Amino acid sequence: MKLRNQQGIVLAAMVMLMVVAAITVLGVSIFVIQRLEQTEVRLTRTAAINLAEAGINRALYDYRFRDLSGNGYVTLGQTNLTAQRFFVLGADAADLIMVNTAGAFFINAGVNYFLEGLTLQNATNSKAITIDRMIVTWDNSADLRRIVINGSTVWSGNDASPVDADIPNVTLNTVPSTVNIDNLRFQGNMTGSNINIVFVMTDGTQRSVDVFPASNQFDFWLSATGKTSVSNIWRTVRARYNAITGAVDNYAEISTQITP
Amino acid sequence: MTIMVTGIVAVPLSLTAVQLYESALLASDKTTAGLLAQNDLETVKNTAYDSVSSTTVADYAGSGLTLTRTVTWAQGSALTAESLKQVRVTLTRPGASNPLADQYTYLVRNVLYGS
Repeated sequence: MKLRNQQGIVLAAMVMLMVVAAITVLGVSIFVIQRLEQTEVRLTRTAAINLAEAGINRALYDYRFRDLSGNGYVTLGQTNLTAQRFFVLGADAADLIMVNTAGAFFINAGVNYFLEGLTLQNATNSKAITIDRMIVTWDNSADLRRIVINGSTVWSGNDASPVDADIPNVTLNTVPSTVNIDNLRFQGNMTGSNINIVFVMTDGTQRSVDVFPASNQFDFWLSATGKTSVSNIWRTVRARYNAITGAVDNYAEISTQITP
Repeated sequence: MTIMVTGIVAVPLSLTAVQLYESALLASDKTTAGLLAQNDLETVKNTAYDSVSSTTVADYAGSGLTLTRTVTWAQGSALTAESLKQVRVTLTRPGASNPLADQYTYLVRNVLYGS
């Protein structure tokens, strides 16, 4: 009887020990599984940002390669790096309008000052972009009299700064060719002035450009989202590329996903 | 009876504990591999474009893992004015085929980062 009691106690003790061990193993299991999941998430996030950077670099290669034999441009949309890894390039109209201010100069004819040497270009062959309005601002008392783009007078008046010029739509097409802003005619001395133009696009986006004095400015913005097909994790970078200096002078991660 | 019950419960419990230990090691190695892969990519990004090349390093940074960097021409070549390199960095355990970390990116020639 005594022996059976002792066996029962040992059995009960072993069962309790096993229960404790099982609970411990379960706890450790949860911890290890969570750690593995966190590691996978970290690796996937790193992969996504590297893919986004790959997207920007791919686009810049395309722009520069095409620029060797004509106007450079990028193609928006999805590119697969491997079967499971891809990036998506995107931009709105204001991102894509390129204003070359390097050759800006004034011609003086009596009381009139003609700002010339500005050119426009679409940075992509994926979609046409259209200018709806131009808001011109300058820092003296001269009046703006006329804006001529691509041989056509798109606005005329006699207004002091700032002028919100509601011009007939100017479309920069998908064969990225150069469009001339032939001149902005001012009445009054523009020597030493600073001129800014905000291009308001038909999609509602805006781009502010200091057009005078001349500067090595001829840039576009691009966003790239990197992603893998095995996860919902994505990361996006946004960059500004200056086609004159060949430099990416603005680069940051943003929280907007670019979709095809 | 006691030995039987102990055996029935202890064997799977022990196997699970061993599996857990291996999983914990895997998580640790994956974390290390991810950091080392990114470290190598950052090094590559700060290396002159023409000098970026393939390499294999055993026991990379004393981690016991093997780093393999594979550089291929995605566009153009060493002879073209413009080109694009694909860089793949993997970290593997010695003798293993599946990488613990596997990262890709592109590098572009003639583009400066920073104003």
